[in-house]
Amino acid sequence: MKKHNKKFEVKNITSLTFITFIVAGAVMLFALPKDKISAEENRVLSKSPVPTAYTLTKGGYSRGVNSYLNDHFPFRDSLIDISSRLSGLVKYQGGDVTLIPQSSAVEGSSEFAAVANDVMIYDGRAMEVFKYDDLSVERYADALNGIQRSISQKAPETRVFSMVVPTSYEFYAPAAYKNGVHSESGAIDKLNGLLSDGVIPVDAEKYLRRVVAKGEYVYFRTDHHWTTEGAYAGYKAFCAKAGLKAMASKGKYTVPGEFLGTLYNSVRRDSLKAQYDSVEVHYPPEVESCYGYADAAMNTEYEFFPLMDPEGYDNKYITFLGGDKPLVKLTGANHNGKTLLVVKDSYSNAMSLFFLENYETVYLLDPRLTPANLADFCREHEVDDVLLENYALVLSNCGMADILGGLYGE
Amino acid sequence: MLFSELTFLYIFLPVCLILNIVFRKYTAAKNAVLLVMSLLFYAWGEPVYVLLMIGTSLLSWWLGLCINRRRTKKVLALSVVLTLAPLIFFKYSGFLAGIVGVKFNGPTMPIGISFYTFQIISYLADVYRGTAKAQRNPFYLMLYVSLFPQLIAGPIVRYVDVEREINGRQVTGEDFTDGVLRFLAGLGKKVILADTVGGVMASVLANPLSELSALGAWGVMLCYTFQIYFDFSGYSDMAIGLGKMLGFKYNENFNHPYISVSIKDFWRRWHISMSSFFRDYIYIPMGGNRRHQLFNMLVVWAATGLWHGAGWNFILWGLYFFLLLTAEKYLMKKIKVPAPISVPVTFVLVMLGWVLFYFEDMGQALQMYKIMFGGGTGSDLLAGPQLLSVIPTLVICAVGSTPLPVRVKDKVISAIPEWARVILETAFVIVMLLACTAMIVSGTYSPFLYFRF
Repeated sequence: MKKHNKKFEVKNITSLTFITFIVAGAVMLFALPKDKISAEENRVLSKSPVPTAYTLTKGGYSRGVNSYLNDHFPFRDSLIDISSRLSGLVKYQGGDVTLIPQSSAVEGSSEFAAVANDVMIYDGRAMEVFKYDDLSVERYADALNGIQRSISQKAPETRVFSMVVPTSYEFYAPAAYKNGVHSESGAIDKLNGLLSDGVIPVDAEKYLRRVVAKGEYVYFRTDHHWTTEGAYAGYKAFCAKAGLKAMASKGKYTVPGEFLGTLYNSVRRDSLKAQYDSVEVHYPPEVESCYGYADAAMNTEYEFFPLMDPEGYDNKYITFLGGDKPLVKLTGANHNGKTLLVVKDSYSNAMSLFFLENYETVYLLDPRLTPANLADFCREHEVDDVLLENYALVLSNCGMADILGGLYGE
Repeated sequence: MLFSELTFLYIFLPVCLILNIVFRKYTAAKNAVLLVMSLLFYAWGEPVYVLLMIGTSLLSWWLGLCINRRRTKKVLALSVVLTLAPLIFFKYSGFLAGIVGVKFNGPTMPIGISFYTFQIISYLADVYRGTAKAQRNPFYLMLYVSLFPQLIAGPIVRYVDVEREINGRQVTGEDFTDGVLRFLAGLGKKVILADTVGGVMASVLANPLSELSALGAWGVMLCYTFQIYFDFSGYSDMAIGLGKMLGFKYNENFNHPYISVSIKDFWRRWHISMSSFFRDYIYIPMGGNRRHQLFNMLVVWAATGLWHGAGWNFILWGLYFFLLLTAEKYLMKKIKVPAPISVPVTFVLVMLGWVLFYFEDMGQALQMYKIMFGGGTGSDLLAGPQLLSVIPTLVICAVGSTPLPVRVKDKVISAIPEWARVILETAFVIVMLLACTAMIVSGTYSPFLYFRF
């Protein structure tokens, strides 16, 4: 009997370990301080959900709690590293081309649809695998045409340009992977064919291809953005279409520090870590002022430096404008009275300052962060030109088209 | 709530286990706690439909008492119809409306309704047969229906199997530890193996099927074959483990189905609680092998297909097995095929069945079959690297679906002293909790490439 009791106690060590582990996890979950944003994931982490009669009965509250726990679990970053290593153990990582599936969305963590396409690693470079569908292209074209129609009624003199920027996938993925629905240039051509006469397409791809062919550093290897060189090519493409003289290069400087971008953080492969990026910046034209606003109504104003020092930040792309902001107003030394409105994603952050060569005032509006009525905005601020810029992945789902569709009221 | 959610692992489960330990000496209090926790578990995902489950439980309690009083076929039939009514309405009304050409999408299906409806039917039938006593306490019957370990994804637990435990149960330290180990083995099967091969499969099938070659098509269906097994059997392992931690001993639901030597053998090893339900409550009452056997088989397999989902593909999937079993019964009767041939042949036949199960669109299923048998022109550009990367996982799955790992574990455990066994098991607990938590957390780690900065 005595022996049996002893055996019983020894066995309990395993059970006690289990209970201690899950109870400790629960205690830390509540006790440890919580981050508000995840720099590695480029997103705001979930907030603690508030129970209401609606969310409780429709299941929204439980989903909110799940998202909150997922986003704020203790040692989350270390656990994600463990998971990457575990995946490495059960998966073969050789071969020229590696494709890594990505989850499609993070429930409840943002009002925006996440774009998390599969990631391809090829030749030391990570790229989002591109795939478009006709519906998404048509919806995006409809949104652009609607915006142009609306602007032409309230600000008939304003010109409207569309620039869809190809990603590194278009230039660096193996040729066989870029056929049919996987061709960014094919999708952009299809889009341009659907635009009304009033929307002027800007051929960024042609200018980017030229600098890629020269072996320039046009796209980051570990991040989904273009570099300052790519942004400069995009700027020149716009100038060519808008009949403007592009700024001549004034040289570049390099931001100190190694940069491992969003795509590295998405897949965390050691092979990519060795291919870290660095951020270069083309010297821009003179900037007289740079103000940020919390929304398109420009109620709250703050001044900031348009090229920030990213020391201490993992995401060095925030060098450009300090990251996305709902609305930015830049004024430059070219006092020609001309105004440009760029309705943009983060690609434009690296390009925006170049426009001060040709415009006295440049507005940068991020439709993901603030609602706006573009036609009213153009009339109120006497906008001469509007550039609707997005990267090519917007043609792979209807998310951005839906957001742009909310920028005009007819 | 799902077992593979952090909410379950780190909030619900510790609270439930601690309360179960605190009240371990008081059956009524333990049952009350377990009932409340089970209803909370269900309400977490189905805040409105929990009322349906409560109502159905109370109705079945009353019907059980009625059957106990008047054991007539009429009362039983009426009780079964009343029990099936919510299932038919919530799961099949949209499908049935479509068949008769009426535009009606049907309501959202309450999670687990197929499982708990079948549990109730088994209870009513057993009370009718006299193999189970009618439960007089409505809350105890509700506890049987709503027990959270098996509520969402089975196994289909019969009332007679848990009747004694509901009325009084004890959890020994050994049971609890076995439960923990079983639960974690199931969690690992789900989040490490099933989700890995499932992720690749979903990613490949997100592209047009026309991009697949025959090899790619077989590869992706192999992923699905292992995903569905490790996902489903993982859930059953977790249910059995949780049951043990709480004092319930559930029957096994899987017995290495992918080493079956025939289709008949496969269905003795796959989702055992469901196939035995159909055998005991439909096939045998209809006459079984004794009269119009083929017709009985046809009904059972059509019903099996329909139970899995309201769609023609599920019915065809069931009828596919009806045909295979009929062929086995009449054509293969006198032919003895050696296991090295019969096991892979059975595996491939089951795999071909999963095509029907996966593709709700029959056009896509036919296209998949066409590609698998050489009618495709794709080059696996996107599928190839992904399927190549998942080969080690598939090998682990293949070995893991045989009895080999359990045999090796049993041999090791029997050869080492008690203290070494405890160290090994404790290390297993820590490693699995850490690994599974990491996989769950990273499953939600999704960089918003297109959002900020």
